[in-house]
Amino acid sequence: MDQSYEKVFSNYIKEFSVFYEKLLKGFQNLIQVEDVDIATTSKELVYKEDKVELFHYKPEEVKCRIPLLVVYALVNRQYMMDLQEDRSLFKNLLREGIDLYVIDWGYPSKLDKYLTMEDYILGYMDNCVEFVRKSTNNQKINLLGVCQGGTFSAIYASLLPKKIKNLILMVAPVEFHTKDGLLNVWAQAMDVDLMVEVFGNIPGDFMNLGFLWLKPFQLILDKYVGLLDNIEDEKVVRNFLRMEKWIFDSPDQAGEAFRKFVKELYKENKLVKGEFYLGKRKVDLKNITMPVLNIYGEQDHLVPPSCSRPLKQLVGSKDVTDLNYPVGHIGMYVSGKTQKDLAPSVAKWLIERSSSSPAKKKAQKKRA
Amino acid sequence: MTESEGKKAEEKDIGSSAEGMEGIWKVWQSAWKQGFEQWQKLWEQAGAQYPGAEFFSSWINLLQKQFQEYIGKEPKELAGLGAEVFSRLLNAGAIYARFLEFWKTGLAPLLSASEGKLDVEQFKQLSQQWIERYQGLLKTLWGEAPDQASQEVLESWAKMAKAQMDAYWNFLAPVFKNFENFPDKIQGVMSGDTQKTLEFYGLFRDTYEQTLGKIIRMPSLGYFKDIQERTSKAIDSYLEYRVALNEYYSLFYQTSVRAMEKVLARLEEFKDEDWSSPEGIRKFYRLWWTINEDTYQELFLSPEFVHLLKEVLTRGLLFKKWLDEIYDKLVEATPLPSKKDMDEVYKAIYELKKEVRWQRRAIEQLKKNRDKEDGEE
Repeated sequence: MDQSYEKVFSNYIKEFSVFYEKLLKGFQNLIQVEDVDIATTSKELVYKEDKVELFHYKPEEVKCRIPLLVVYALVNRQYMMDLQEDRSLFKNLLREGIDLYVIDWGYPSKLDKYLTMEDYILGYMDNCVEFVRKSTNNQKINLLGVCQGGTFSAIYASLLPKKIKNLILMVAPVEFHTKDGLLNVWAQAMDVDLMVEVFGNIPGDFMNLGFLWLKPFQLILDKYVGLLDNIEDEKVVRNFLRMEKWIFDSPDQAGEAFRKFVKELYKENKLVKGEFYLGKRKVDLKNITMPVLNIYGEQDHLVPPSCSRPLKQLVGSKDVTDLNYPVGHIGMYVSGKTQKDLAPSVAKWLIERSSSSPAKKKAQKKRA
Repeated sequence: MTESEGKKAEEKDIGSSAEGMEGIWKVWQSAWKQGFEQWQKLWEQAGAQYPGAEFFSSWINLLQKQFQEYIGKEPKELAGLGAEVFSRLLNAGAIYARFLEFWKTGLAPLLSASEGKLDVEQFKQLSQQWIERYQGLLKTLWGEAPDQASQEVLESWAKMAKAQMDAYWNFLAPVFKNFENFPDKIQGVMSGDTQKTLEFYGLFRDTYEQTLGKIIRMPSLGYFKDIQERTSKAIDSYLEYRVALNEYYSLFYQTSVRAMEKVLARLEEFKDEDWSSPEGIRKFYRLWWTINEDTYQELFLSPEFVHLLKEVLTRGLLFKKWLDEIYDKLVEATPLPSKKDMDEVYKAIYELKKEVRWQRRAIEQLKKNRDKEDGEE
């Protein structure tokens, strides 16, 4: 055999053998794992309506007297923020003394295909706000909306500003006409009326396929090849499984709510144009006069910064703080970069603005 | 412990635990490992002959098949999260194995000829050879895009469509007439020529519109008019969906070829690297997938892609819509509720629940007002 050919060939065999060994180890390590523990932070179910549930996470010591209600997107599940023991935004917020309430939207079935954005925002979400207000004896509460839940929260805060003390939006889109995000571009290609007519509820698997194709080589191939490199590290494998569980845990989307969200926001960008109506009520972002904290990831490919950043110019508040991190959409919750800083920054911002002391209020005004 | 003692101990270990799950898999694993090692030795001894281009991918396909069959037989033991993830891992493994195979067949001969260093000119000369092998890699990557369930539905409808097409065989003559230039066009498609590809599918679409499309859309008469028309609409929309899907996937293939050309162009920058080493293989892999990712990002943002995405989505949805219409029509003849019947029920329940929710709120508000009034008094 030609010597150089032999070298190439034997290296190829070597690489393939290593790959093969890893695959077998992968099989051994993965095959009998039935499930992994996620969302381990202790919580209590305090309110339930249809499939929607409201959970209360109690801190050991309350440092912010106004509770924080977290509103996640309808897409995927809220436990992304409590995915693993050592990387949990919920745990970190509790550690900072935040009294936390979190909405779980549940899994819509065919019975829910007619649920509208109005039902979600002025129905379920408002009922959860009411519950927190009553049970904590607060006229106003703090609201944190994540991704699509952030858009919902901005709409809610502009319609019912009297109920919200401080508004936090996290990786949330408000400006939908951008060419930086594939979802924004692809949405233009969707005949959403036909989609809802045919599917009823939009299948979670269909949504997932779309998300995977945003970065196909990374998400379908390299991610798993990378896992094989760490297949013997049990901790890495367990955390990988947690993430896999979350990624593929995609509830179907209630058809009518999906129709309005894609058609009037992604396609027609009505929110920033001041043309968006929820039921008969016009949504004017200028009504958002409470303090706003806008958090986004600089490398977010699902909700690029150009979707979130314009919020400052759109709201009526004079106290708007931008907080950005060099992370992606998911990295905001699981990246090492945000673990140390995100929760303390949010807590500090909230505590400063949740006190009713006149001296503190004056100081805040000065800063603003 | 000597090697033979070690082997005996391993066999004993395997034998003693063969009853349990773990044992089964140890046997399986050991068998594969031994087989692979023997195969490896065989080919190392065999000299410079190439050991069969399809071996590794067929090996991994077999592995996948066995695994899927095993899951099918043992749903209780293997239906967990780990099994699901391993299944995805195997899919990625199949692509990676194809990649290695491509590296071996496409690049290794060049590397051996130039002692591990790359000569881009040689690549150009051999482009026709690697493009064929590269198609195999692309098929693994994109070829299985529709999920199993969709494929089954599509296949069953393809058979039905074929049966209808047989009846209209005479109308196919113009198709063949128009395809006189087929070899030239398909060569263009294979080499990633966008214009030729669009011409090719455009030709197909025009021919279909002029021939079968007209017949399929023709109104039917008689007792089975309704169901026959719905069936025709489903077939028509299916064929249109397939045409749109082919155009859509052809863009993927062209993009992969374009990305590969970029990879080859970039290789020149690394001309002093030893690409024949295992590290070189990994480096080449990283270069390959990251350039592909970037090239696909460009494609996904292009108006051309967005247009085809819209076509595929709309055609696919219309096909499903007509399919559902047929099912609904068939269900009408049974005591079972149709999709439309159920939609009415869902709507009624939704409206009732909504009404209750608002009534409840109104009652609470009235109570509040009353309490307030009582307090004032």
